[in-house]
Amino acid sequence: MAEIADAEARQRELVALLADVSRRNETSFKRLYDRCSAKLFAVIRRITISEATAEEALQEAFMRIWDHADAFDPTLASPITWMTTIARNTAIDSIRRGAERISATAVVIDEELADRLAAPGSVPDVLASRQLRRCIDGLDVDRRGMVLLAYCYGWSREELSHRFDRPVATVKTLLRRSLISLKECLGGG
Amino acid sequence: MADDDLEGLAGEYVLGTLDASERAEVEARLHREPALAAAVAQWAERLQPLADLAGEAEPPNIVWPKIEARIRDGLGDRVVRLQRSVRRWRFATAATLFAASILAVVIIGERQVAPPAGASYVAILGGEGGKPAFVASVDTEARTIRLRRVGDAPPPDHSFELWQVPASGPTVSLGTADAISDLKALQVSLKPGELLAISVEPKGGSPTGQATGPVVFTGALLPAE
Repeated sequence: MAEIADAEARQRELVALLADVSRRNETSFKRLYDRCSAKLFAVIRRITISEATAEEALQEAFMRIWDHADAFDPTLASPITWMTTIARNTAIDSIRRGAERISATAVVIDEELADRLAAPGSVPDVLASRQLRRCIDGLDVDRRGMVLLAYCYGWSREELSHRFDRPVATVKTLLRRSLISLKECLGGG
Repeated sequence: MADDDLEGLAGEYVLGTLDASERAEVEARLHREPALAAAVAQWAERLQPLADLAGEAEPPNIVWPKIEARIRDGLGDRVVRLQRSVRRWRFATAATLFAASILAVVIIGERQVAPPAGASYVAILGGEGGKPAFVASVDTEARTIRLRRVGDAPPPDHSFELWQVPASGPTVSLGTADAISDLKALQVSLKPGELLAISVEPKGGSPTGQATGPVVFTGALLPAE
């Protein structure tokens, strides 16, 4: 119970900070950065290959947060989800602009990762939602790998197509079927 | 290309597997389709635990000073004020949540004064960096606006479109602005301090009656004398 109360207090604090940031309060923006930058940097760092790209993407993500804090709607999403969405989009934008992801080295490294991720039960217990883990574990190996590589590591359909040796159109179909399975498993109406 | 599978499209948008044109399409639709925006928000919440898995990684100390310098460069506030007025009319729904890609533009001033009869106003519309692109002069008695282009022509196969951006409420199209010089009849009354904006639209102007492309130039109307 205490943990839930803590999480709620944290969330309220972030909502309040974002409201301050929308009024151009630099002190609150710095506090928001101190609270969230390590988390967002970790999310970005998984997607970009180079540290330099990650730093630029983090900078860009916080500029977007600064510029668009007034568009944040706490009834639609939690503050951390909103900021994560911005951070992931920024990181994905930066890797899709360059060709760094297509290099052979990156594919080899990432294949090890894909194998590790795709192993059943590989999603660690720290996963906030056990239900999501259970549902992801319920997908077959390839589909699980595709979803995780896409979300966590920013893999495109083309990259997934190489890795899983399936046509791009098939990758799209499999991704969408996986999403439907996940939604049903999670009880989304 | 329309993609009827709203859930799949929203899910793939959040996964990050859409290609560039599909992503752009979703982002454009987010502004006007609350159902799609809600689906995207739900997918983001559903999958958030996977982002939490990344843990924490302290960014290097150099990042914050760079952000701080950018928000203090003096342009920021003026840019954002305009972005907000733009957003008020352009994305007047909760869909703005995931739309973090609005072009930076510059605002000159925001004075709001009642219009005297028979007055004339001018506005210099410029883009990022302040280089003038259009000069507008309004004659309230003749109810005309003359728009003279002093910058580049619109991109190939596109039109510039002129908008009145009221302090509140939707923007009003004042027509396309492709000619080097054009005298237009005014159907609306314009006041000093009021903002004009120019967006890039498909050839012939916005198909929706609201700006669909980026706002590239803005300027506020000032008394001519």
